[in-house]
Amino acid sequence: MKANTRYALIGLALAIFATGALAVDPFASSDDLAKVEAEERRLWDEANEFDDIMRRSGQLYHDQAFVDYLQGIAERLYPELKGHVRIRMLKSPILNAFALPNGSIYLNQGLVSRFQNEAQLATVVGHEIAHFQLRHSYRQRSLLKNTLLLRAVVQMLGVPSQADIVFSSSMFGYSRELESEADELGYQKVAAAGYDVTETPKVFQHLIRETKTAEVRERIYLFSSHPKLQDRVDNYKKLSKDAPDDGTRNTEEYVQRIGVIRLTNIQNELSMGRAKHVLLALCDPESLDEYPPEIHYYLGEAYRQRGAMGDDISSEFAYLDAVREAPNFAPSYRALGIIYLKDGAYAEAEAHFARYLELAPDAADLAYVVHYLRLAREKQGKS
Amino acid sequence: MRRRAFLAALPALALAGCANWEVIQAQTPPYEDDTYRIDLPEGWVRAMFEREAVALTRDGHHLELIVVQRKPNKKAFKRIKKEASKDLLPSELAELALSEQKAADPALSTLVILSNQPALLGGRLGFRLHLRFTTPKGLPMEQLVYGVCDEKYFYSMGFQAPSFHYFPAYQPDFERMVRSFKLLTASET
Repeated sequence: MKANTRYALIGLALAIFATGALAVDPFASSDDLAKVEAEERRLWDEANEFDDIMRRSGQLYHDQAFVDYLQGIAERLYPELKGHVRIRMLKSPILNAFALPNGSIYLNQGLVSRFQNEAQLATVVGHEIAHFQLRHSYRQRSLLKNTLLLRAVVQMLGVPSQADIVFSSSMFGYSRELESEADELGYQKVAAAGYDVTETPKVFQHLIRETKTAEVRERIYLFSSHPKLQDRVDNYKKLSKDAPDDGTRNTEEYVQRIGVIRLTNIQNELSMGRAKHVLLALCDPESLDEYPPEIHYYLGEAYRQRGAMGDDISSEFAYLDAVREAPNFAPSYRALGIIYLKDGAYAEAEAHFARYLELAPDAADLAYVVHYLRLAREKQGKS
Repeated sequence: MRRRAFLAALPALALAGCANWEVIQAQTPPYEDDTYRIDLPEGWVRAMFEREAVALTRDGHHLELIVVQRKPNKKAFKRIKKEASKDLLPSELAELALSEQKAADPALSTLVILSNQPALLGGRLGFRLHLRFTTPKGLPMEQLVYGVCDEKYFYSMGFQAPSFHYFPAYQPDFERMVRSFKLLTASET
C-alpha cells in the first residue's frame, strides 16, 4: 500500500475516533485512583503488562539518580499523584514520549537530550502526566472500542498486538481536543511549580526545526508530527502570552545532569547512521561547550557519515580539534589514520594508528587497526 | 514494538508460503548463482527467495536462522541511504552494516558488539561481526554477520540463534559454510 493511501486511511480512522470523547472526571486524588471501574482497570492491566515487557527488554535507562531526578520533577508538578506516576526513560534516540493509562510515563533518551533546561523537560512531563490525570487513554479507548478499523490500521502499520496500549496512548497522539486539554493542564502545573513558562513553546519550536531539517520520517510518533508540534507551539504561546519570565529554568543543573545522557544519545544516533540529527544537535558552537572535549570526534564522525560536499574536510578538522582538546581519546587517532591511509599519507597514517594502539590496546576493533597499520608500513616499504 | 530486525522479514515470508523448502542432504550441490557459490550445511532446511537471498533453519527461524544475501552495492544499505563500495575499508563496511541493522529497529538498544574484525571471504577482505542482544521477552540472542563487497555486489552471511544452546551448537555449521563462500569470476569483471 502506498504511503499516501496508508496515511489517508489513518487520518480517516482518527477522524472517526475523534468525533467525541467520553466524559469522565479527572483523577483529583489517590482516592479517585482506587475507584477505577472494571473497564478502565483492564486498560491498566494491559499497561502493566507493557511495563513488564519494557522492564525485561533491556531498553530502560537504569541510572537511578537520573530516574529519581525525573521522578522528582513529576512529583513537583503533580504532588497529588505522588506514588501513582512512574517516570521511565527508554534508551531510544527517537523523539518520543508517551503516557500509559496506569500512570507510567515514558520519555525517550533522544527527546530528553534535546531539552535545554529543566523548565523545558517539565513542560513535556507536565503534558504527559496531564494525559494520565485527565484519563485520556480511557476516554480515547472508549471511542476506539470494538472498532474494526482500529485493528486494520494497527495491522497495516505492522504494530504487534502487545503494543496496542501504546498505540492508543501515544503513537498517533490523542485527538486535537484531548491534546489541547493536556497542554492547558500541563501549562498550569508548570506555572504552579514555579518554572519559567516562556520556555514552554520553545521545546516544540526546537523539535519542529529538527524534524524539518533532518527530514524526519517518524511522523507517526507523537512529537515528530509537524502539525501536532505546531499545535503545541500555538497552544503554549497562547497560554504563556504576557506571562513573566521570572520562573525557574534550572539550566545549569540540567546541563550537568544530562551530560552523559546527551553523549550516549549522540553515540546511539551515530550508530544508527543518523548523522543529520547529530549535526543539528551540535550545530551551535556554544552547545559544544556543554559536552566533554571528545565531542569534537563525534562531530567529525557525523560529518564523515553524512558525506556531503566539504564534509570530508570538516570531519578532518573536527578530528584534529578532538586530538587537541582530548589528546588521550583514542578514536580520534584511528579516524585520522584512516583518512591519511586513504589519502596515501602513509607515514602520518602509521603514526596515528600506532598512537591509537598505544591508547586503546584492548579496543574491540584492534584487528582492523593492526591490519591498517601493517598496510601503512608496507606501503612505505617497511616490514 | 517491532521484532528484532535481523533478517526477520525473510522467514516471515517463507512461513507465509511464498518460498520453496528443501532439506539439505549430503548429495545436495552447493548453492550457486551467477556471482557466488556456497556450500549449504547438511541437515538444515533451505528456503530460497526471489530477492537474491537464501534462508536456512533447522528447527524454526526463531531458534536458528542463517541468511545469505546479495545486494547491488547501490542498494546495500537502503535504510541509512548509503552504498557499499569496494573502496570502503572493511571496518567502514562493518560500520554501515551495523548502522543499517540498528536503523531497522531503533529499539535495538540492547545490541552489544562482542567482536568486530576483518575476515577473508571469497579471497576478499571483509568483516566479521559478533553481536548479542536481548529480545523484548528477555531472551539473549547472538548473531554472527560476515560481509564483503566486490565491484558490483555486497554479500552478507548472517547466523542468529538464542545464546543458550542453539548458538554454540550450530555456529560450527555456519562457520564451515562461510569458509566455503567463493566469488565467481563473473562478478569480478
